[in-house]
Amino acid sequence: MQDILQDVETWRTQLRKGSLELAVLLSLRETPRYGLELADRLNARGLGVSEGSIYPLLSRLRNEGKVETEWVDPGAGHSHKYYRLTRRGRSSCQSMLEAWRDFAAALERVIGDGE
Amino acid sequence: MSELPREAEFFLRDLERCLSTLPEGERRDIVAEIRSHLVDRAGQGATELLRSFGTAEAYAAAFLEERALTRALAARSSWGLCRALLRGARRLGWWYAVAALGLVQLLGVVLLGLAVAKLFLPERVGLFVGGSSLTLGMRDEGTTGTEVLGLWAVPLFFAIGFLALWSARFLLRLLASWRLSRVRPRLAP
Repeated sequence: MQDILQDVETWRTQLRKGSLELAVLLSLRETPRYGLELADRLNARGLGVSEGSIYPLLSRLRNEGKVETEWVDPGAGHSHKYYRLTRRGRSSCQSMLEAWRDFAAALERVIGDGE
Repeated sequence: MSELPREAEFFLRDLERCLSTLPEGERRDIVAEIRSHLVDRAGQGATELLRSFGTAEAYAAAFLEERALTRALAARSSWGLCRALLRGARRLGWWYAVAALGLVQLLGVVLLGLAVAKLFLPERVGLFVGGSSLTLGMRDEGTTGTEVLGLWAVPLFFAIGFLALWSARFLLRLLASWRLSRVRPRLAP
């Protein structure tokens, strides 16, 4: 039983890993956000993001031209680096979202077959 | 900017050192962003500030390895792929795999060279059979053995050479893509 639980946990981690990019892009659709804000937002929704992992991902998204960045000084406190979706990022987000919905719907049908 | 605990300052200093291969602007940008994150968390009263970052070396590798693999895949350079794969290789198996594919590429280049050389030195290049030995390549003048391929060696060497180069590059790209999927940022379990 312990083995099964561990396997499921590994599988759950892989699911999260595979969906992190989509989750980040979705979180940037409405407004620019900075890294900590993104991590907190995703964790508040139960995704269980490792805070440190968000920055290498954001760095890659920037290198791929999906986000652009800007340091913003709020006046009080210290600056934050805000990420904003580019046109390419928005398009990528939409395509990934459609792919995810197709996949989730297909899996739901398979689940329905067994009930 | 708020003060950070010493361990966090050490982490940031080490991170900057580990990122030294990046352009200065990009390196400072990354370190400034992580600093900003840690200052925010410290301000919220968090105690284990570095828990999700691991060691500076491993954390820097998440930026460097991914970047190197992505660029090598985009550039389609076999040499770049080998370097990018070896950059993050922490297991001996990776070194063996990349070295083996490097040797296959070398074999491909040698065979292409022999195919060209066969056109100009037909008696000295080919597959030689003499006594109990079999020699592939170029031999010195005057050595014994009969060349058995003739001019068929040219298309044969070309074909095998291209196949070796293509398959090694294909496998390097496959390894790099797989590696990339492994090093991309992960979520905590």
